[in-house]
Amino acid sequence: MDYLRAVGRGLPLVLLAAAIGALSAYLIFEKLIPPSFTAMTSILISTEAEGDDAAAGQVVIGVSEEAAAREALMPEFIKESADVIRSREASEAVIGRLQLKVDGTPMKASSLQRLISTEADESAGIITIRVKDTDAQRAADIANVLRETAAGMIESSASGFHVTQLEQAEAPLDPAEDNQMLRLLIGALIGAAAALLILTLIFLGDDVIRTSRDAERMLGAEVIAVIPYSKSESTAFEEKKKKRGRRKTS
Amino acid sequence: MKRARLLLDREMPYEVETAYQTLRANLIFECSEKQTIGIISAKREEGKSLVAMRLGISLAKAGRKVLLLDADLRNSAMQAHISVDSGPLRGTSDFLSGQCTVEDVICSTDVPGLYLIPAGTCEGDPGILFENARCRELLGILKKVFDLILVDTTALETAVDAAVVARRCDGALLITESGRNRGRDMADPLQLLMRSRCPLIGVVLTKQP
Repeated sequence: MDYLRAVGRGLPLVLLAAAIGALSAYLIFEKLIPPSFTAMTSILISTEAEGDDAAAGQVVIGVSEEAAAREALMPEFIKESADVIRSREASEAVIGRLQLKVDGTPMKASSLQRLISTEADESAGIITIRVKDTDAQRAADIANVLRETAAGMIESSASGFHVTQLEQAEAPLDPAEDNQMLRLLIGALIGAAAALLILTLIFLGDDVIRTSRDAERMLGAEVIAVIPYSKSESTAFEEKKKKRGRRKTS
Repeated sequence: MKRARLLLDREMPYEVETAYQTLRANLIFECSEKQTIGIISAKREEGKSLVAMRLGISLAKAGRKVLLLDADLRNSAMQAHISVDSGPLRGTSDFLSGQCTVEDVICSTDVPGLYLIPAGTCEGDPGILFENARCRELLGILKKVFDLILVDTTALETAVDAAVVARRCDGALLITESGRNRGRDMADPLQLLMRSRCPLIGVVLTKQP
């Protein structure tokens, strides 16, 4: 109960800390950490026959056994292709082609791999490639080069599959969607939690005698009277004492 | 006998008046056999002298013959709240240093049944004065005349006078101001009081918001 009272007394501090936490979260995320952009491109993987027919605009009426086997392997191949896109080799090839650098030194493949994500739609045979970067144009360049590089690697890895590059990545105009409200909320919660922690530590270390219960607990003696604060009485008493003190010194 | 006027407002807020009535009642119930009560505090300006004077008035109004003995020879607050009709304000220090008799220092007040002995004018070492045999003699005389003697002492942080005086009292009331003292800071004053072998009657918490 005493703790709750202490927290109650410190409520303005908790609210202030929450506001400061939210503001700090906003400043850190919006000002100190630069916004990131996500460029997106995709490829379509199909079997050779599908690809040829699709290219020729014909409807396939019958399928050979070989084609049927490729169709069965398709979902697995899509997954493997997505892995190829995110592979170290693909990233190294992109870094080499674009001469990507970080602080003047060539970018590490692992660093680039962290920026790349893929999403495979196995039924449609489409792999979406997303590249996140603080530079919108660079994100688009990486996505396009990665798409071309990976398409070549995928096609050379297995025969009978065809890779179509569906769309060109464009430099995104807006930063990737950030959940600003969530960040503010997290900042506010961290601020409030920090304030509560401080209040708890203060409470645990606080042995100031304020109430009769404090006095009895800390002094081990019974409180036989509690005299309420009376401004008029205390002020008058102190003033008379001071006046007398001045007279004595003069 | 000189006559002193207490420079305190007789009108008090209702809750303050009630608190003093409670203090008086508890004091009467809990220490009917104790005649000399030291009013002590750990620090200065915790309301010790005000409590002593208000309690004295309250007890006197209840029909007791009470004496307020100002034993705060270093920084008397009580002396600022009394006005004596004529002559020097001789008191405790003057008696203890052998410069006058008990009769010379006791003042009647404008509250029937309430008497007081001011701190006095002599500037000796209070610590030595209270160790003096005249201190025991003074309390011996007063005990024969008065029902209750309230001894207003120096703050324990200022000097050990309070502990020396408390040793000659039957019990002590510890005055502590709400929100001013820390439990750990009270350990030394309480130990000092324990060493004086003066039983602690109870605590009075003052200036409670």
